[in-house]
Amino acid sequence: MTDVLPKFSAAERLIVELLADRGELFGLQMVEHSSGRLKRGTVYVTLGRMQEKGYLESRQEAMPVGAIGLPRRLYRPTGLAMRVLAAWQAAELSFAANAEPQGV
Amino acid sequence: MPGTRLLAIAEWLCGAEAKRTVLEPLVADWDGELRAAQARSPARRAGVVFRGLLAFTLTLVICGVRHALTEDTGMWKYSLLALAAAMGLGIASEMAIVDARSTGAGYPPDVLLEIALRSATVTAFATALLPALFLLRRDPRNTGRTAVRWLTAGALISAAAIVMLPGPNRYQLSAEQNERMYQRAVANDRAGHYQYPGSASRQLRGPTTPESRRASYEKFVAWAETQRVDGPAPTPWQRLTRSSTPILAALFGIIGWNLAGVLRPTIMRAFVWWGVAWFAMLAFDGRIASLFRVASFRRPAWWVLPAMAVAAALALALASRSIHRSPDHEITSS
Repeated sequence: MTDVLPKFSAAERLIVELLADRGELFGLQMVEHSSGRLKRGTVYVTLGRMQEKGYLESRQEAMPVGAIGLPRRLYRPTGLAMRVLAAWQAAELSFAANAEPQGV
Repeated sequence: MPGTRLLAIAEWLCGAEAKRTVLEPLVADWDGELRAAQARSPARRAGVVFRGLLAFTLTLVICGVRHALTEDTGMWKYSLLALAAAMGLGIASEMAIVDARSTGAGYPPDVLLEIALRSATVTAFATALLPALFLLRRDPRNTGRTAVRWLTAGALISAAAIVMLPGPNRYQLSAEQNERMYQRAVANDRAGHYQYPGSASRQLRGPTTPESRRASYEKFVAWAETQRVDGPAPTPWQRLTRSSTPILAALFGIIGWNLAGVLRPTIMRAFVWWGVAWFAMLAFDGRIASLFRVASFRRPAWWVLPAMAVAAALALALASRSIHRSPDHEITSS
């Protein structure tokens, strides 16, 4: 167990937040729900990297019998991702609470 | 299965793992989107196809670069360094040529660099593939397949650079750069470093304001554009179709790879052969002639240099094959 809080890129954090809010999603659904903040050309690379880091798990959707084509992949956050997200949110709250307005 | 061919390309470029975790989910979502769009208008379906293809291409490029950087492909790091160094040398030599040709105009270094980058980036990249592929063959783990990947990437990058970079023959200094050159010339006048006719015209016309110089310069630029005999600036697509540089990039790469099959690939040799190729590019382009004010120089037809490069590549390929087929082949020349 490391003492250092793992880093989240802006896209990684957004993905975890989306998945925490909405449950399992496909890559394309994340792009649609992100209001333009996730791009279709890069989101799958980010998802692959997050799986390597252990932030996401995925499974293939069940295909109807006789259906052709590739089954789509559904993603969900791991416990690690949820803990990292909670830690970053707590750190930001703490920082905001301790920040004093700068007087002239 | 839909997308099988696309996924085969993806696996070849990016590896099996990236294909499974990155490209397959993309194609599966795209496939699902296409199925959902079946009932829609042809224009909508075309939009789905286009957006999916764009996303697939971009993802493929990202994965391909990532795979190339992380895969253990032996000596590719030296090849990348040779590529960067040869490009740097090429652009530096172009700066020297522009400076020598400027006959006392006294370009500041950043203007020199900008002119050289515009005029020489694409050709410097194409030529730099020669030492890169030459050194790539130092490591026996790099096979012909690795070379084909490099050549394909080199030709594509050259083509992309031609489309994306501004055309080299339409360069005009900005008004700000022109003003800086004026101030530099005034400082030279004061220091007694007169130049003809610049110093004389500055003294005859007397001092003018920066605003009037700017207006005068902009008027000159507009006039110069009307005097062009080669018509309006070509579009990026026209620049691409008129350029032989992507072909040359691949040919220089093939020459480098086959040269390493004939000669022992040392760094010194890589740069000697790059020097030969770069000199040929400069000579055929008329840059060497312009240095010596050879007004009668006629640029050879565009196909002459590619034809010579094809001949050299073929000759080297045959020589490399015959050396490697001989039973006791071992490259020992030093």
